[in-house]
Amino acid sequence: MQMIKICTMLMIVLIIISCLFFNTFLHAQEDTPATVSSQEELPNEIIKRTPKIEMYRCDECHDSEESFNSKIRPMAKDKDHESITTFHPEKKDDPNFWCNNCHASKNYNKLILQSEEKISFNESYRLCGQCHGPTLKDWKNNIHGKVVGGWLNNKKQHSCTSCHNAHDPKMKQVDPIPEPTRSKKS
Amino acid sequence: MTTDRSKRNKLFLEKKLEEKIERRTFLKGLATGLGLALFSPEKTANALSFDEFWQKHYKELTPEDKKRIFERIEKQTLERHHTEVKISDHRPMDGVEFVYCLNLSKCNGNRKCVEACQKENNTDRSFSYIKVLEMENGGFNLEKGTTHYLGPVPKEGKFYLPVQCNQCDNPPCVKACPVAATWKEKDGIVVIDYDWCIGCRYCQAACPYEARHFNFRTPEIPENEINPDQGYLSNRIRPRGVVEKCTFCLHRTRVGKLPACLEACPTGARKFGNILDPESDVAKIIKNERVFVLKEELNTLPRFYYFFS
Repeated sequence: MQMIKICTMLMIVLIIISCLFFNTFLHAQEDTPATVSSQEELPNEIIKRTPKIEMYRCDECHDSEESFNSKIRPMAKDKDHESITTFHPEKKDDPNFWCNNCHASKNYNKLILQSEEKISFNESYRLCGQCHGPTLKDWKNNIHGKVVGGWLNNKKQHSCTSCHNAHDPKMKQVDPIPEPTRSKKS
Repeated sequence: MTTDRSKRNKLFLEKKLEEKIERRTFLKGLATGLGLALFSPEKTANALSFDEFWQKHYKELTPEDKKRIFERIEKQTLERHHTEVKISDHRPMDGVEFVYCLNLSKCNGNRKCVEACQKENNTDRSFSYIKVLEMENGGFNLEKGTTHYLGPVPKEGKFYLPVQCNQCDNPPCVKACPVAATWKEKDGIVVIDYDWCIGCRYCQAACPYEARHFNFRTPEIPENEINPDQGYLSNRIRPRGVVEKCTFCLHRTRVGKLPACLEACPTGARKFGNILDPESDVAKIIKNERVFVLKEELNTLPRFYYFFS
């Protein structure tokens, strides 16, 4: 009699355990996404970059098949590219560093990741974050960068190129606003 | 000669003292004087009104009192500065305690915050609540910092340390005030009732961060730059003879907005939020970064944290 009791108890325990494991297994299947989503989950809304680019859009000139360079060459030092001369300061003299490292080869209005995925200028953080990983992590936690709109809700986050010049990202010296002083007359 | 004159003076005084002022005459004089002082119409724009003279401490005001007072201040501002303003009185939110974090690695000393603070808080243009100190790299001696630096910034071998009210949890200024015109609110902000302040400047002397400023003269604000969104305890236009300081822009922050200095900062060095929310930016910074406060040894428990990142 007792043996039967113990057996049933054991059976019940086994069934419960198997159910639990099966459940976790199912959940695990649900949780793992089939593919890595192109748009990562970010806590704040990212301020869009494309509406701010009004002048000197790449596609104003680079619009036809022959207007794209197929081979690596230094950028033409003409007046159209006057402001785009340095790239990254340390990459200035690197012959392998050129437009197509960041811009899609046949569409300069798109950026290209190492994974060959084409992204818009609004997602510049994904491109910059390929090399600047720790900074990207800080940026996601709002330690690096700037969030505006409010501390409670309506948070809007600036992306990399809101503050950094995309073609010369190192911050430059600026002239400060004069110190407030008592005016001479009083 | 001299003895003659002294004798004459003595006689005159004795004569005067013998003349008795009658009680009735004295009372009449007193009543007339008081009446003139209190009930006469305002001669100058800056005269103290009857209502203002008898106004109670902020904490004793009823909602009706507040409504009346705010209307009076709005009227006075219109008369004196020819600007329509709205006086608000936002109370602390529940479950919110404000904390400020500042990334000293990012601050480049451009003084955009200083300018924004002046405009937001309607201060006299001769000073600001924020002082940006230029400091030598490798040291943290506040005495060696200077605010009188000229551009271009940031300079080699220097770092920039903006100092403003630390909203201490153990505020020496509040303890120093003899009339309780300054106190700490529930969300951590130390405020001043400008109508209750007697201008003794004890708080200014007590503050180890030199965050408080005394108005020796009536603040001069360009009329086209007056900020019409004014809080009774924060940025309403102060009279002469009272102390003022940074209030974390409570008229903005208590409705969920960010302080003006943060929004003006082009470097993103300034971070603001609710420390009681573990998901907030400031909570993450305090958890993950090496934060520190100024003059920790004084046990003032500041709410203004600095870090290098």
